Amino acid sequence: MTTPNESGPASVYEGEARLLTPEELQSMFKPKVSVGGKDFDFDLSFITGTANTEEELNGWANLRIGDEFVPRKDWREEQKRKIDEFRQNLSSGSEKEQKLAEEINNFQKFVDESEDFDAEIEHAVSDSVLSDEDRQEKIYKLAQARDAQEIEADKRIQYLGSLFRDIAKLPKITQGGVDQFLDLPENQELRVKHIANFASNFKHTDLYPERVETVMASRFINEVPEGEIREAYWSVKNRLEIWTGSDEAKEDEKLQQELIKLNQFKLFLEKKFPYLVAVETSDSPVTKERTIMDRFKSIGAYFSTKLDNLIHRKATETIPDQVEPKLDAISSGAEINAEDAVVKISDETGTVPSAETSSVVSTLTPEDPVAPVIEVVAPVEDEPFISFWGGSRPRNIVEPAKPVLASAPVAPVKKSATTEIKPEDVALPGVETTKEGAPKLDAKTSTEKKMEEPVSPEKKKAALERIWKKIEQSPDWYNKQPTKVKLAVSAGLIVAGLAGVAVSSGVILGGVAAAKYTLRAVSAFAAAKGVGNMLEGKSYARKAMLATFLGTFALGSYSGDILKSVGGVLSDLAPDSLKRSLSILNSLVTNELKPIQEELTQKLGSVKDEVVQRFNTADQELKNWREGKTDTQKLVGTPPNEVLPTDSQTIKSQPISQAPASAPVAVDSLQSASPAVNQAVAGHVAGMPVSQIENAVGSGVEQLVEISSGDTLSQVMMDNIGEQFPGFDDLSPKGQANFIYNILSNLSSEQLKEIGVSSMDTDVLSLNDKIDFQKFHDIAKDMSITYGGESLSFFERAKLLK
Amino acid sequence: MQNNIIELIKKELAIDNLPEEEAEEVISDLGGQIMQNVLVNFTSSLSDQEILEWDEVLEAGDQEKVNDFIFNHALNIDELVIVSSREIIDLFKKSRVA
Repeated sequence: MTTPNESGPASVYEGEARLLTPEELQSMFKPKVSVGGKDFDFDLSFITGTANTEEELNGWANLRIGDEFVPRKDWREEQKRKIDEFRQNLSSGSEKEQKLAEEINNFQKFVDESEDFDAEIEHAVSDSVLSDEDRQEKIYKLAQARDAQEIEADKRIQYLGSLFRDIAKLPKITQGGVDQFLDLPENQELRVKHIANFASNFKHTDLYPERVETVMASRFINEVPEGEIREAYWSVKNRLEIWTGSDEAKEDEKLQQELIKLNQFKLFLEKKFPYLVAVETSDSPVTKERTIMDRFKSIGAYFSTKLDNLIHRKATETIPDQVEPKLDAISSGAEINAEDAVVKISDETGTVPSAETSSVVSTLTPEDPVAPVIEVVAPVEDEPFISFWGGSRPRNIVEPAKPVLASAPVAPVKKSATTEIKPEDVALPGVETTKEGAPKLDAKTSTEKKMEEPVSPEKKKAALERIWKKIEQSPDWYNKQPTKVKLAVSAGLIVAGLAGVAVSSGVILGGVAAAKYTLRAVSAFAAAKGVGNMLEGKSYARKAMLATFLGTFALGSYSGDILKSVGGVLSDLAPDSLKRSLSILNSLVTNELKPIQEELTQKLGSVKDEVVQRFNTADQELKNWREGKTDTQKLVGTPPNEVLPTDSQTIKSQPISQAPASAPVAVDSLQSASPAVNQAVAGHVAGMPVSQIENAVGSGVEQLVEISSGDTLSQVMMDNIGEQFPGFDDLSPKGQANFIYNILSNLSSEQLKEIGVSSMDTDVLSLNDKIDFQKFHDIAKDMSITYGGESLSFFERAKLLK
Repeated sequence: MQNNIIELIKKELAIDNLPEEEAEEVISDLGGQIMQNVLVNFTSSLSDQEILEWDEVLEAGDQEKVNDFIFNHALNIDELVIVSSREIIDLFKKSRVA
């Protein structure tokens, strides 16, 4: 089980939905721009929702090569600050400490002699002597050198931390350790040594979470923020409840000893910090937190069910009988945050936790050893001492803060911390709840009920007609935006199409600045992620952003509120610019855009007919199936017991064309649709050149495939997998799709890296990637799935699909 | 000498010979076409029941529900955008050749 800090630094969202700051947007999406075959970081700071003037928005359009790099001017100062901290914590002149002092001096020298690559990059950006190509190359190399230098500094700091840890190892604490803790003299030095020693005893046990160790190893436990202590206490308590009396503990003497020690620590914490075991009244902070935890849990359950349904698209009878709140529930998560707690949501972006926010930590509860729960804990100051003890990326050292949660709300919280939360306050909209406020898990919603009813062709056709009308109107809103905004959006979209990667999502949202809605969605989605069975935060955030933009686009033509909601960025339309745009557009329609419009119109009609036809076919299939005239297996596809893992890769890596074989109606119907529909859905674009893959090493076992612009991993796999799995071409189309889908869904990020996907994301390929199909074969051949009670390799499973 | 993403796009679309304002207008308008195409492809990927829900959500006009619906039903929204963008770019290129 990992905490956000263990899995990676976190992005920060706090309070009511609001526009993202440039830093947050940047850290969330880390967008890259592919220029000349190389990926560059794209600085979003000048195109985010915080831009107030068109001039600010214009900044992005004047982007020069190299502007993507954000100077880190304070890097050296930060290193010096760390050095000062290290020195301040050196107390005596033992041999080890002398060694440590020497290493600190070495690090000081390293920092002093470090190069200011940022200045060189800035110089290169504006160096008119260089050609664009040379400038690009120079900047790229400088950026690489800068990264290497910073990585080296990080390593050295970690080494220094390990030396500190080593020094702190002192004689082991005795059985009466708890009393010793309590009776420790006020001499902090001695206390530190005891605590550090106690922590070292637990260092290598799986029972012991790193964060607890951090608390224990902190030099001044009295000054550890309350949130840290509370978190440590819950972790200890939960693990004790899980493991005490377990079969493992009965048989493992060492484990028993560890549990005794752990219990000692729990008792110590309870005595030292009485608020941890305070009576839980309805208005106590603990109760409040748990209520919020329940809320998050219900949201997590909702997403789990929803995503499971999306993936498998089971037939109506197989929809899990679980919670299915209305979609309102998605945004309601953010409302909790706004009023009752400040929530820090973990993702993989690299943002260091803010001192003003609290943590969402996933952990296990004894009541539910399987489903993790979100705990909203007290606002936590930055971890002051973690860098001393090695571990993850060093953090800035800040002054510790006074405990907050138990006594007073943190600044952004509007409600009093003692406000009572009633069940109805936390109920999900539209969801029947228990008296405790949790959703009833067996409550069926109108959505589920509707899914059980066949849809008449007439009804579908009418719905489609209305939708097409909306789509045809949808550009109206877009066309009303300032030219620069449209240009920003368009560039993002076009780059996505040209580069074949959706890295420009941030650009899109930057232009639209619809972050308010996005934030609410992201908050809930990331809460679901915290439960532990959802997508990666980054993918969620990106998807949420795109969904927001798409939704805004779809609805914009008839919702005046949208323009208000997108903030000040769009409020000041430039009338002259708009008029000019319209004038030019009018003249261009006949020359440049009319053919597009005509083809698109044709396509709309064509697709519409196909979709209607598909609905009719699906409808008939469903009727036949219900009447028992159709083989159930044919319609349902994969048997219900063959559940593909709903992990993060399952969705994000799923090309539209490769919905799992278990998708009953959608996939079967898609396969019967026309090439136009299939292409539209599958990503094989009419008229688009087939992926220009080259086998650099030739056929046979060794096979490296270079990536061309526009390639997707699934398509590369489809084109080349036959070399490694000779029977692949003999599989049915469904079997082929199932095989690739299963593999891609189950590749870990490390495995992706091994086969050559540098982004470690199945969605994103770099032009510099070379897919190693030999490695891919080695990994994929051992992957298996349980089918009919037997373990089958993915390939064997795929062979069964006709 | 100034170079930027827009210039790269202009070259890629072979519109770098147009006056700057006109070229930017072309690019801007393509964005609208692409987004429209995204919606077409998204709708095409929905099941029959989902079509009805999509229609209801659009008719209701609740922005957040529209966003949520897209999020929950676009299994791979990145690819949806990429594909839709490619289609429009391809159509555009073909129209210029013609």
